[in-house]
Amino acid sequence: MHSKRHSFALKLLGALPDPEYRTTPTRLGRDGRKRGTTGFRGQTAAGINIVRSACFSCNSACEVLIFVDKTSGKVIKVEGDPESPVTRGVLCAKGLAAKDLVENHQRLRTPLRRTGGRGEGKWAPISWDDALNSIAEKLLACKAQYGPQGIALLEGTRRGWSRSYSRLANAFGAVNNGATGWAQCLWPRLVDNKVTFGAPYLESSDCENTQCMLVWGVNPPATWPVKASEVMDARERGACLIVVDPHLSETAAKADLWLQPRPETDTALGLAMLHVIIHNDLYDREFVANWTTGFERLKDHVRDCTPAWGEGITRVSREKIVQAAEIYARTNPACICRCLAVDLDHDSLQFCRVTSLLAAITGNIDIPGGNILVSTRGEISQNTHDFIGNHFLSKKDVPLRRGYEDFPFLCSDLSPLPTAHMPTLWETVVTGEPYPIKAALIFGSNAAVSYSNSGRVLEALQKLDFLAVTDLFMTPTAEMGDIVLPASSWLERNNVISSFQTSYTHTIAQQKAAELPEARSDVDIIIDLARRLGVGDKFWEDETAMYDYLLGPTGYSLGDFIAQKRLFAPLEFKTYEKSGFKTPSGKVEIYSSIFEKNGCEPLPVYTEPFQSPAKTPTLALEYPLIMTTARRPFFRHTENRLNPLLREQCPVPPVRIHPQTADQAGIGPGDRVIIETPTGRCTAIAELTEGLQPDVILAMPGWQGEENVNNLIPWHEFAPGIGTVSMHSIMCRIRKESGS
Amino acid sequence: MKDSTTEHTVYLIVDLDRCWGCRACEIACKQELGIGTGPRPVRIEEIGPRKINGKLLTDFVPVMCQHCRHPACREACPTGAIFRAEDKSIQIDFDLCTRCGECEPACPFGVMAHTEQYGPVKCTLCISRRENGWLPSCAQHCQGRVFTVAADDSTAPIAPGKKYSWSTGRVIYISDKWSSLGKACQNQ
Repeated sequence: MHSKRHSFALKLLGALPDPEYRTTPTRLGRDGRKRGTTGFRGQTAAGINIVRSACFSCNSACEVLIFVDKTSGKVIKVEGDPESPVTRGVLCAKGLAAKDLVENHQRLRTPLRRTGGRGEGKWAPISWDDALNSIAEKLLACKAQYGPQGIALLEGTRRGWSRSYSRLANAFGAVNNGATGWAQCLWPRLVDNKVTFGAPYLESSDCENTQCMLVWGVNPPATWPVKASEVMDARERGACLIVVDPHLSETAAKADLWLQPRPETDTALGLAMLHVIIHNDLYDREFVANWTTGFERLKDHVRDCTPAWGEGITRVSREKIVQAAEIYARTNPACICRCLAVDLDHDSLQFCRVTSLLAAITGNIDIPGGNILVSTRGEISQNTHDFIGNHFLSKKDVPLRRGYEDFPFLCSDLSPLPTAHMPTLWETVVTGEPYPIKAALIFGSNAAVSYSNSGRVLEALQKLDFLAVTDLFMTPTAEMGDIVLPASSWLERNNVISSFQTSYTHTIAQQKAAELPEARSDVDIIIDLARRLGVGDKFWEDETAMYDYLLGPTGYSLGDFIAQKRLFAPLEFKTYEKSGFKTPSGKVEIYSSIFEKNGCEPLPVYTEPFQSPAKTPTLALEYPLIMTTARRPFFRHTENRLNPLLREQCPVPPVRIHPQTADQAGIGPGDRVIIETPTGRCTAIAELTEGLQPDVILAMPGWQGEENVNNLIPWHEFAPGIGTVSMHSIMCRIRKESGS
Repeated sequence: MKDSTTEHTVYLIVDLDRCWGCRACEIACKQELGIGTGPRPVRIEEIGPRKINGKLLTDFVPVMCQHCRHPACREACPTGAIFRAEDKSIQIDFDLCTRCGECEPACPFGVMAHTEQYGPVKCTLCISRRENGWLPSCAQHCQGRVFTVAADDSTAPIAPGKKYSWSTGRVIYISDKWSSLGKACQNQ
């Protein structure tokens, strides 16, 4: 039986006959409509401080107001900042629920030393001094015994401090450093931007000025609030919305045209679209002639990539392929809005490249309403080889980095920020081949949950002689540690946030609003640890000094910047007309000379996913379903499961299944099911939807233990050049848990 | 001269075409009302996916107190604790409320929650925020910018810019897509 609310919603949408509620005409004021523009009139209630900061529940870093009780110092609530020129007051569920971060009783409140067996959960509190000294002592001893390659410095997703952590690793000589994500988050796009456009970032889709949005590999309402508002505003203004997604996501549900490819066949879809645009003469002749190289080779290359060919591979009808290509190419300006999912495929670099080429041949580069090359507001970027101290490493050590030979675009100087290849690194920890890795330092990463092939990672964690973990909570990863350090949350720290995911035109200040007495910010811990490891000379006095240094060229100190709240620089268009593209040829390299030299396909080539019914037919006999993954707006990675308001929204890990498939397996909505692959198994709760193809299921990553989809994902093959783990085309089977 | 009281009456316009179910409104509302888990004064109902004219659609409908013209909750309340405020929104006077719970089943929309911890809980149209010049929390934080606050005036057409509208009180649903909502009222 439907709830009253649901019945009402169905009636409103005409899904039930004859709404029984009476429509009453009402009149509204001509000037009565006010949309999100009511200014912050700061009628500050007595006894409340409003601290202006920026949320870091994800990389969007939306500007917020943190309401703090003056007497108790308690955070009362977190809200969007209506005066923010970037967000205009918008904030997502995660940000709105963030006060739990400072009041959750499960927060770590003191450094801990393990007293029982590893993972047994027995701890004794120790002082910061003791904790940091003993970490330094262990790391130095390990370095002396096994060499700098014998220590892994690992981290999670960027939190503003992340690059100073890379700097610590490099200053210490630890070539085996890096993050869970990089090969499957952002790095493929950064490499693509660099080799194709010679630009650090081209992830900037100018929705505000566009007429057409091709949204590919991202679902903004779930993961990118600022972008969600921009896309919705553009759509309501009349811009066309084309969405590519194997699942009828929230964004796909609002699309004018939704393309539903088989997971990880996007490169084929892109090639077929390129074919249509080139062979129907819809490309921008002038831009192509003046500003690109290799177009003729591309033309030959996609000659046989017909819509019919594309349909055979992707399952998107040839009519829809033609329609999407024509709308995108004929509507000017048009932008491509892509994000994480383009980095998670077996052919990540090729997938990224094919979308970039669509933008390039239609001339939608660096123009209003297209994809723009963005920069900083003058502050020093942390995303450089220089800032992370790549030059601190000894030349003879660098080739020892795990993955160095195989994945040059991740692990060598060709990488946006050179890092180890994590699956290769974990295998080395387990096997001791080709050399032992005995100690690890993990900051802001729930490695035991967040890596693919979790079973293997757990095995590796058990093999370590020493593990120190810095986090907010006692995660399954921290539980494996010898020493655990309590880190501050974003409400408890200052920071300078400069990211294309936040704003193309603003650098944003994060301002400390609360304090947990024993918790320290990651940068503070990193600088302190650097000193104890004997590399303090490569760092700043303290974190304020580091931010002062980064802001130096702008003329602001950290304090002035925080008072000012944000820095602004207007967008510049067609910057290439002045200085060319910073590629070897000075033009957009449709045919990539850098890829050609380094063993990657210079023009995008479609290959079948590592696992698919066509590629692995024997596997498909036993494991006939294709698992892909997606997120919901309440959690980021493994975070927020302890937040009661967010957990209420999604109490159990869902898996979406087509009704027909569920029916065949005797699965009903709400049933607990088991998903299995040859690598592992996990459990989830079934949700039925016709928004998937019958042989595709959609799971949600980030849950721990039995419920972790990462248990299912193997490490047999990786994306050429960069080492991405394929996460969107995993052959699996599903059954109802007995007794469920 | 306008009647000064009508200048202050409030409407909440809900644009169904703009809602994509991010649930920011749900958390924003709870935070504003200071309630934890349990009651959900505004809730997004997800309808679909279902096939209409060969196209798969999923729609999202934020459902909250409609601030009805003829509120069933007010009629059910034995102590008169539920009242129409000056801005025409429906509010609860907690000094009069005896926490009898009669209002919860009376609401035809299922948006009145009655819990031991909080007593009756429902959307207040953020009356105290508006008094201080802030938008209702759902309206401010919504990623789709679904909600618009409007003031009453007797000279203009309802919900300009959209074809269809539906209302039973102070909340007005509008859409270009859902003709089931009924026709917009033209300027009379």
